[in-house]
Amino acid sequence: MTTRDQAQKLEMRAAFWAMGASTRLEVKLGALVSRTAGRADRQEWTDLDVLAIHYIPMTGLSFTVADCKTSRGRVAERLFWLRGVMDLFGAHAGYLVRDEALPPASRQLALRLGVSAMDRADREALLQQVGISRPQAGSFFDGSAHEARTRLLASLPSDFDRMRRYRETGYWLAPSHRNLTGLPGQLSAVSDKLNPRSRTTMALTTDLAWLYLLAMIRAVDEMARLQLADLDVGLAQVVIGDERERREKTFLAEQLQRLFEQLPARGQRIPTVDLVPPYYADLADLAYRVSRRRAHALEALRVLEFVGVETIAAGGQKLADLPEPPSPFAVKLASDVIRFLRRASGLSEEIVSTFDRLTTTHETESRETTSEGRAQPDSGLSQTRLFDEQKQPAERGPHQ
Amino acid sequence: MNRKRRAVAERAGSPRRRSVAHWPKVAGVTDMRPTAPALRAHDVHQGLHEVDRDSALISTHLEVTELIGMASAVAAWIKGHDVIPDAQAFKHVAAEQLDVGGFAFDDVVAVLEELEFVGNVQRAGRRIVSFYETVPASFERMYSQLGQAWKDQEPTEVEASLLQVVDTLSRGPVPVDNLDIDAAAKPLVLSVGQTAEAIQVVSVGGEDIAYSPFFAYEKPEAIKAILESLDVERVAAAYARVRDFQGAPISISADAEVLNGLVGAGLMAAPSLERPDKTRELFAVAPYGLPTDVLTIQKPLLEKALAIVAAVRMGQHFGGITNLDSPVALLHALLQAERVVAWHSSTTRQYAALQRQGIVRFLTSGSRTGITLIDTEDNVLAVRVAIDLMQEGEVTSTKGLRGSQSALLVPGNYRSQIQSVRPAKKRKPIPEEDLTAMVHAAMGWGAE
Repeated sequence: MTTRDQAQKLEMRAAFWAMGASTRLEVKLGALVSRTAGRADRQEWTDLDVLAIHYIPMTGLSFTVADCKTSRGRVAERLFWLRGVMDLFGAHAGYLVRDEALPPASRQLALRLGVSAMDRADREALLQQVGISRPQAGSFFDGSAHEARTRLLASLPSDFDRMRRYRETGYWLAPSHRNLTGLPGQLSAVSDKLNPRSRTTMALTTDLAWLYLLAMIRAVDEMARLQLADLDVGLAQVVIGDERERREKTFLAEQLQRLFEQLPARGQRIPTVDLVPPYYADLADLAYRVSRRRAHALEALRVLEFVGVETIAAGGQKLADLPEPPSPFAVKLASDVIRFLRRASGLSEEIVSTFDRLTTTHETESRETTSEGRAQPDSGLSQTRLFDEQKQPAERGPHQ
Repeated sequence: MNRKRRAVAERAGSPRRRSVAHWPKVAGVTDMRPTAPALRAHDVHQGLHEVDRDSALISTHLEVTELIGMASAVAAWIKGHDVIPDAQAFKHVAAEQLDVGGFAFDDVVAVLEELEFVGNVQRAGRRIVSFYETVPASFERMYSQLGQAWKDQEPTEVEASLLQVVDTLSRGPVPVDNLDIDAAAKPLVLSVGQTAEAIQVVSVGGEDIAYSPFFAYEKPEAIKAILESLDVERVAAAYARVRDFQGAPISISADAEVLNGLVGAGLMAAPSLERPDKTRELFAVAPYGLPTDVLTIQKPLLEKALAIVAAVRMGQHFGGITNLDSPVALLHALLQAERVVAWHSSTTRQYAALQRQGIVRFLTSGSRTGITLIDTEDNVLAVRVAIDLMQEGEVTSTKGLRGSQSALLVPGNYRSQIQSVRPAKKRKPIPEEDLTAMVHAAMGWGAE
């Protein structure tokens, strides 16, 4: 990846954001492979330079990918590759982004393959069309905020290696419904190492909440298609699986329970083997809320993206600073996801309260008062109080 | 009650043997369903609508029950709203509609905050400015957690006994002598209950019979008359069975004689519909826990709910060619916008009463007819009351509610049977965390 590639990615990300999407840069795709000496247990196929996610309850989730390269030539080859990536990922649209002028034959091929071909002039026209008079959003669109988050997350100590692999690749490898239970499991494994007063902790938690909400939207879509009037049926199928999987898991649970009963107990509690995780009731609550506020789900993804990157990682602007703050329902939905992860993974309550303090867009002024009793805006100074910048266990140094 | 206090109480013997003056606070009623304390506290709170709450008897003995009753009322009201952006405006609503006085409001929000039913409570000084609503989607879970909060608040023995009595009476009348409370405490519990209008007592042939005023058709004279002619145990059993199956067809009920007596005395509702054989069938309904406005100015709403119960029970028992499998599922489907349900040839017979009351309209295609809900606020609420009655036996999700609220989502019950533990001695025990990790890995709750 070159710096020039990065500029293209940021431009496409800004364009996608301006078109209403939530975005993610550099999503790695690959497969788990058997672990052998000297070889990692996963191999990468490729990565998506820019992933844009859009959601409308009527049509469901849609994905757009952009391939950004400043290198010259091999356009036809890359178009076929992009088409394959789109099919692999289930993307509805793809953008091939180049700086060089694209030959007419390549544009015809792109049209046949359902890909939007974008050279520099096309890109500028797109940015003009979508009205990218970039919103006043601190450094959110210029890349420094994104780099700040990348640096923060790269600073996680080796205790977080498994989590890092999951966040970068594991999440995208797993079937989406597995992430509903997999992500809380990953998070609970490091819950005692997360300091709620650490900016890194909040950046990580917010990013995981974004991933979790995406998995939940997929699940809720599936539940709505299956039986909207009785979401419980759909949720059970999403979490447990269809009838065949339910029977397999029931059998497995019974065998495990029998096995446990044969073990010497000596005072310790024998865990109960259920078909659903212990936090299933909270999961049902969240599914219910996302379902009821499906119209705000996309905006909630954008809230989590903006807050994680701009407000937390870059210490920049807050939602309340935006010219058009998001709907309170979207902000609340984002908070619901954080709240769920706290309960499911045993995180500190302070993580929720910190997130709420950073995102509440109504009446925040009334909370901060001067010694004269005069209200003052909740400014960046509050962030200094929220985050302990000197002592952060989750930021002990770069990963070795 | 904390362990130390409980241990002291246990050493001192059963609290029942001691005088009222020396009762310690107790953990509460242990043999009630988890949801019952909060449901009954909510009943008592609603029942206090027309009562002077500041009377010494009530303010002294119902402190915790009042608090949890108010918390239940607020939780049920805000459920599904997500954001309460103007808490001061809501405070007015709570005072006007939910009987939550201004001075109690902050305490109620504090209880809900502790339960994580509200979050992100923004305060300016002592004033609550805004908050998030995070009430569980399942009413069962909501009332269970409120019930636990009631116990944690250490209610007095009097209020614990009172809620137990209210819960007992929610299933039908019971002779006062048979109430399972300490004899020494009984007069005070009944006195508090009657002052709070949560218990009514009639004298029948020299025997005092307690009954609940929270049933929709509460008529002291009629109760007295019916109990003079019918055995109280049979009456109680009939009530209990109808509470378990609201809308039971009377003609095929084992309690037909008693139910006909109760219906005839106006103590139980019995909407009727025509069966396929042209005879009329009565469906017994004993509505319990309805808000006072539904029993008075909103009576038409109750009548609609009763008609809905009767119509779907008719489909369930006398459907014609095929019977309706799940009346509640049909009603959930009916709540969906523009959804047409009950496509069959008997629809016009079964649902004619609902059409006449402006609840549904018919849509015909070929030889079959379906129904769709005319989605006025009253109709939607009537369907939801009907669902509550049939599913829970009483009003829960619609308790104290007006306007659109969220639908019920009951968490699945997928627990496998916990086998008895037979520890195999002489083997090295596996740490609990390892067993838990095995479960998580085996059940796919880990990522990799």
